Amino acid sequence: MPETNGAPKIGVYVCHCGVNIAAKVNVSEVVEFAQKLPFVTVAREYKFMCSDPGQELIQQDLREGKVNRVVVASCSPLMHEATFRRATAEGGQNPFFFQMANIREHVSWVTEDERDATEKAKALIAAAVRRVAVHQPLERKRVPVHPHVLVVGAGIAGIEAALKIADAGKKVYLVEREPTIGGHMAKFDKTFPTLDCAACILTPKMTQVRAHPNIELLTYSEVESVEPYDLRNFKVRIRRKARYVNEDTCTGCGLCADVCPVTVPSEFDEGLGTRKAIYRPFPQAVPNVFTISRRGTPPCQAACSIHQNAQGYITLIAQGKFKEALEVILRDNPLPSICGRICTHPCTLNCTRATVDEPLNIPGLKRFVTDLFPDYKLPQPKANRSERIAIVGSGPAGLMCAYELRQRGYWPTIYEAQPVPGGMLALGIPAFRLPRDVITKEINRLKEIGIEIKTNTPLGKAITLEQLRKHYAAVFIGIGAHVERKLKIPGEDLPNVWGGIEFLRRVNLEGPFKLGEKVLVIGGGNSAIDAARTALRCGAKEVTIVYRRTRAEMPADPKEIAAAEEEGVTMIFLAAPKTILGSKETGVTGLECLRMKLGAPDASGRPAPEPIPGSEFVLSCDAIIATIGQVPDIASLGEQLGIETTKWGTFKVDGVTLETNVPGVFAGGDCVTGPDVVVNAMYAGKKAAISIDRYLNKLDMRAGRELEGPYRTEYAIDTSGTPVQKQIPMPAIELGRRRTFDEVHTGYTQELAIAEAKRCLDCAICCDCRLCSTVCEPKAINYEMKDKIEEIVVGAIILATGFKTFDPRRAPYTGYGRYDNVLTALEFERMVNSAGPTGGKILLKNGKEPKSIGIIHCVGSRDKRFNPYCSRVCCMYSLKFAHLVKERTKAEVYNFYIDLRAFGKGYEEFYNRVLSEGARLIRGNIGEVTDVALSPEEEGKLIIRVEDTLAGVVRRIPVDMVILATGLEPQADAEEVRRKFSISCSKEGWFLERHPKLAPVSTFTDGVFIAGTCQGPKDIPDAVAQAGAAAAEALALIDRGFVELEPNTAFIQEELCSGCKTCIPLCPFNAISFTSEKGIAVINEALCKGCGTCVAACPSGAAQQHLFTDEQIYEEIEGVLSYV
Amino acid sequence: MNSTVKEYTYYPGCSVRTTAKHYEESLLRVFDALGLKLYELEDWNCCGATLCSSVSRLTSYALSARNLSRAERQGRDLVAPCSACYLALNKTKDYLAHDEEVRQKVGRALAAVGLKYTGGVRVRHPLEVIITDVGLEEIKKRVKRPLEGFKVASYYGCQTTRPYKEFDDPFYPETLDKLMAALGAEVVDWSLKTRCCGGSVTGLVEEVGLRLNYILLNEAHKRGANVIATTCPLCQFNLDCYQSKIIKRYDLGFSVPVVFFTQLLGLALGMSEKELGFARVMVPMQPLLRSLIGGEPIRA
Amino acid sequence: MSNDWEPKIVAFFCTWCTYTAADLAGISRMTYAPNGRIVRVMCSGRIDPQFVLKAFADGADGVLIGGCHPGDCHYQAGNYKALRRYTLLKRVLTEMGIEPERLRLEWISASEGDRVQKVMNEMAEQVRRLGPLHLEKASRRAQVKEKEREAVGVRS
Repeated sequence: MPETNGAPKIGVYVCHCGVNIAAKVNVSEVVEFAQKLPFVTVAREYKFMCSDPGQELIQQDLREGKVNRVVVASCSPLMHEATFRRATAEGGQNPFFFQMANIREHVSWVTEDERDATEKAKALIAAAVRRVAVHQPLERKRVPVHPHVLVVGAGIAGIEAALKIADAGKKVYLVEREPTIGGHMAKFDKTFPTLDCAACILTPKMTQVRAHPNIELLTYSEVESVEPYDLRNFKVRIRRKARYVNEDTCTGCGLCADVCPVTVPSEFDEGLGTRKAIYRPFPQAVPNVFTISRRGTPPCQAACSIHQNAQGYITLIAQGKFKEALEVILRDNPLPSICGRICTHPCTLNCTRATVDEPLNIPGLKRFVTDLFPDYKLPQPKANRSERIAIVGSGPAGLMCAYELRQRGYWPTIYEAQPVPGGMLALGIPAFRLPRDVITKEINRLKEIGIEIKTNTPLGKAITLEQLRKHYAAVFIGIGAHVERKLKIPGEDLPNVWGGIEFLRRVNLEGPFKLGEKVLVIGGGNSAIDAARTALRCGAKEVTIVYRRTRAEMPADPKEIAAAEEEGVTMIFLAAPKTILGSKETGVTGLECLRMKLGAPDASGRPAPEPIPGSEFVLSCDAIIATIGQVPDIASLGEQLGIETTKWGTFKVDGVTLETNVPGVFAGGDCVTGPDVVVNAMYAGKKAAISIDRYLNKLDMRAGRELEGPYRTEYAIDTSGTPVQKQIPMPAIELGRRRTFDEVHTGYTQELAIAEAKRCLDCAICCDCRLCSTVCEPKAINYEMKDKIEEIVVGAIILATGFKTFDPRRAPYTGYGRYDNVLTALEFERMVNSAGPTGGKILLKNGKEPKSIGIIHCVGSRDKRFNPYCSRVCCMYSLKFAHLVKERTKAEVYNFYIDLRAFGKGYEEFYNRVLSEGARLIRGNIGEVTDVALSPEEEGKLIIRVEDTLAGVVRRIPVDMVILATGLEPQADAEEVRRKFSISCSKEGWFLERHPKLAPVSTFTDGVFIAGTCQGPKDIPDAVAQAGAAAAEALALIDRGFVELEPNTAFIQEELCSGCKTCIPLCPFNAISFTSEKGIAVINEALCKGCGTCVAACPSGAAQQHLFTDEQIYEEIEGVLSYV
Repeated sequence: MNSTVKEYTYYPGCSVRTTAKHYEESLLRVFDALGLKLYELEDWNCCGATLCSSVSRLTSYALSARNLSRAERQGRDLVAPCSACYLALNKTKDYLAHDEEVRQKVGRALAAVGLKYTGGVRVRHPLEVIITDVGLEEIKKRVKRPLEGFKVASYYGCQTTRPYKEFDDPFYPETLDKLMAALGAEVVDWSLKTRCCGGSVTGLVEEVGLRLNYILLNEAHKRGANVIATTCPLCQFNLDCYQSKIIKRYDLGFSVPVVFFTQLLGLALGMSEKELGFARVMVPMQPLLRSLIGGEPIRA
Repeated sequence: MSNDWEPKIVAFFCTWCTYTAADLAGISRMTYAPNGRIVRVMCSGRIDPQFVLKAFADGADGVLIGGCHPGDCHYQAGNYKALRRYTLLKRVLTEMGIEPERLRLEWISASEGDRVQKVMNEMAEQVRRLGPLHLEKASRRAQVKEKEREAVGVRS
């Protein structure tokens, strides 16, 4: 190692630090020891080395040439290294000819025994001496600091910091996750001890922020990530959450909130008041714009194959906005009065309310609306186009397809084989469930918007596919599945053995006819139930359903099953038909059945029925209806049409587009899926329509269709405390009339409908009814808005992310959540706030004014079970509450405290003032709040059991209202946030300052500062003061415009580098690259942050780190070990 | 719950063999029905609770420690139905784990009879076992006779959740309430769930005990309870056996039957009143049973 | 202490977390065993396995490595590198006949002064139990092992 400033002449300076070191370390002995160490020319001791005279000692020795390298044994280098380097420099030497021995934090303060302490001090000094002997002169590098500052969190601290910096003429980005700035302070009424109103002092600052040219306010936004932009600046990505309201155009007029049908508890009012789904937290909010709370598609809508917006029209019904409800319904469904009656409603199966009691009767509510407006019209198509489309089959699939196409401007013509349109709707479903006129009306509505329907025109007979393809731009085939499955048992062809559909079709087309006295219906599906109930209405005396599984496995809708039984249909389970008895002459006389038992689950997931051998038994009857499903059976037709079919006899189509092998010919519904429910047929029709539209516009038929059709959404919705309120049954005609074809259910009355609708839990909050957009004049509402990511570069960051309050549910002894009139401090703040839910009146749940109030201190604070620390503000705000109660009511006030902490300017005076106002204070940690009255005067009160530690007695104090002085806690996501900004947290989770006294707003990450309660509990004055300090720190940094970096970067000794590239992937900052011409690694100093990881990995020792060379560390190791 | 049978070592304690027979009767049947197998701890001895602990703490620890060490050999969790035992065993575990002196002295005592305890036993209350190892969902499925009309005040007493809040909140526990709700009963919300029943004091300074129990009964009644479900033999004894006295002394216009939670559970699972030992209860349960579930109940 | 031997422990602490924690321990006056001698590095990733070996060679009876908790590294991943080297190093030490328990790695964040106290005490205890490190004894142990291996025909 070439000497750089002549042979080392080392000065060792041992600090007493008053008694901090001297009391444990025998300083003079240490000095004596140091004198003898190699290269040491001077060794001195002094009371305070960091003081000017102390530093002067060093400088003098340097100037006089007594020493050229310096070791100071005192406190931690994190404390005073900078100081002594400066001293060394001023003494005329390179500041890095200096090394520090930490004999305070690491020795005197942590060692019991004086002997041990002294020895340890010697060892550390020995190490420092050996190290400094091989130090080399170094130059500090300057890097520019970006002049912009990011402030995270816009409570009072964030606001203050932002304003200070902005006023200094620097650009500030102020990020707040809530829709408005103001933080907790905005919720307060008065502020202690001066009692000035929070709003009066805060709102002016808030408007300043809004108006300030240097502040870019990003509300409803969160910091996504923080990355190093270069050596000293930060690249920050910010998520601008979608507000669904354009901040720049919204005028804050509030018309939208007036029409919004969704009411939810107001977060700002701590749940004491309510707000709308489109809301502004409070009138003075900044920015003064609205925000929509949207969770996205609600479960009901997601589960629906055609995504009918159930929550939308239900919410509107609950508000009595029936016309609007109808509009929402017609948005996605042209057959609502049909669906309202016979849809199998997958929506209800996914209804969140079911987790509380029962799902809503969603179809019932839809039906209610359509019944209310019997003559409603379908929306007219927006555009008109020339193309005509042929649709074969007028079932739900065909009708839906036609409607969707018409809405897109095309001209559909529907060809129907049967004499009446409607497909299965008209043929398979009996009138007492779906009156014919309902069908006719729906179909006429479709005709009214220009859809043509040709009945008695079967495909393949009356018309050919060729003709259709020739005359129409595209063809959709939805001919359903009408061919009955056979029982495949003997006697099936006897007279008076009917297929379910065959039977229903005949009744539907030709009217009821008597088919027998004792009718057996085989099967367990909806059509079995329909057949059975129809049979009853056709005059059968006895109707019995025979099913091979049990009730639990019946696919039919439980409500329908129940209805059938009401009407007198009986059921025989676990029985399967074996032979139909009878003859041509006698007709059917009976059915021989086999007893079944349930076995292992089959493909359908249901237990497979297995016959019990020899268990035959006979049921007598004179008619049998077999409803065991249908098949399309269009194999032959398909052949004739040239359309590929599957082995199940259904059309073969593309799963996404529903296109058949014949271009331009699409198919959907039962003829593709086999027998399925109405809503799925409609889904197929819609799907096909979308495909056809794209087909005709030569667009990609597949792109972006993932979310068509049903899917599941689940919301973590807190349903706790939702009172059980079962579904309201829909009125029905009395049993006596259930032998006619009159519709069984008569539908909800307005009152019932509204009551039922009110059961909705508003899963998605915003119900997407879009009323707000109809009243918004500036057209500021945009439902398509998406989250945006913004990227900024800043040189300094101030975190002012605040606190959350302790949740007293964690402390059941307080009775919070169980008793009315037990409030948290914040809830009470809102209550006493003149702009709050009670307009500043202090009221009990029953609206009366309390006669006595108990305020319980230290809830969640100073308590091993929760938080050991003191929250610092509770005593004072509790006294404030006591004052406000005294000021506004005649109530007695009791404060229950452990210790009263009235530190700070004017606090003690305030405490005395509140005492003089007659507030009572009882010293004692309360045992519990209970509602158990032990005497008449305790009846109906909340009793606080407490040990009065001054009087030494246990008291029971009955009060009307209890206020919990809930303590302060770190934000729930503090850990996540501190990681993002790579700073540390204290054990409790508060952000950790660099030094508790001397660097209270700095962190261990240069350029990141903290202010306000995110650093620890504190009151408003302290938070504001800290914000100022943080602003000053940030300003000092960016105003200078550069920082000098510790010259501890790594470097490569070229002659030693073998070019093995080991180091290159190790560098997290990509500072190392490989030069092929030299065949060695080079380190880009501008990128190196000086961790030394590459150095430790270098096999040849070519990589070294300034200030931490191998040699220097070896010396240090030998040093500490040479003398222990 | 998976169908595999779960196994436990069973520590009856003295009460369930004397004053609280109906606790054990119902407990064993219910556990059996739920596929929870109990193996009684061989040669078990007094848990050392109550009297003993006030005379000599060490003795009571030693007594419990003996039970623990024997149980440890079995390598299963130890189920203790009596909350006094439950507490005594847990307390001993605690002291053996954290109090060096106790550990050494008790260790020597055990060694003297060739036993040792290394802290490997988990002591569990049957209520917690049912809730965790069977689960409410499974229970719901198994309910044959929902307890409709039963208005139950759940009473945990002081020892089940205090001081060792092993499975529920020490001041406002809810496990038992949830169980009762799962059985179809209407749960009465009251705040005396863990309030003192007088314990053994009731036997010594009667008027104190009577007043404490009066407060409990009165409150339960006021909240509309028509039955009190307990988890503790002593609580059941105090509330049940002293009730007639309390009725006289405070001329209560009513009486409330006090039963073990396992009895109600058994009832819901479809077991007969006889099996569940309802006859042993002083304040007759029959009127309630008749009015709510009518004639002779169905058999399991 | 009956005999006057005291373990010598070298502690390599990263400046951001563990060294700061050690300062915090001091500020909070948490006394602990005096055996540890702290050598400050910028990052635990700087700790060259040779530092550890050198420490043992120069008479340390134990070595302690302190870095930031996973995910907290001031330089993103230095502590992970340290962890890898540490794991390997333990194997090497065993090969050399040095009890791996003489080396310990701890994640200690800037706020965990009490952990520094705890770890320093535990380490001192640990090493005291192991007794002084005699390298020649160690190497003998190592040779024996080697022999045994050759005997069963395994090459290290």
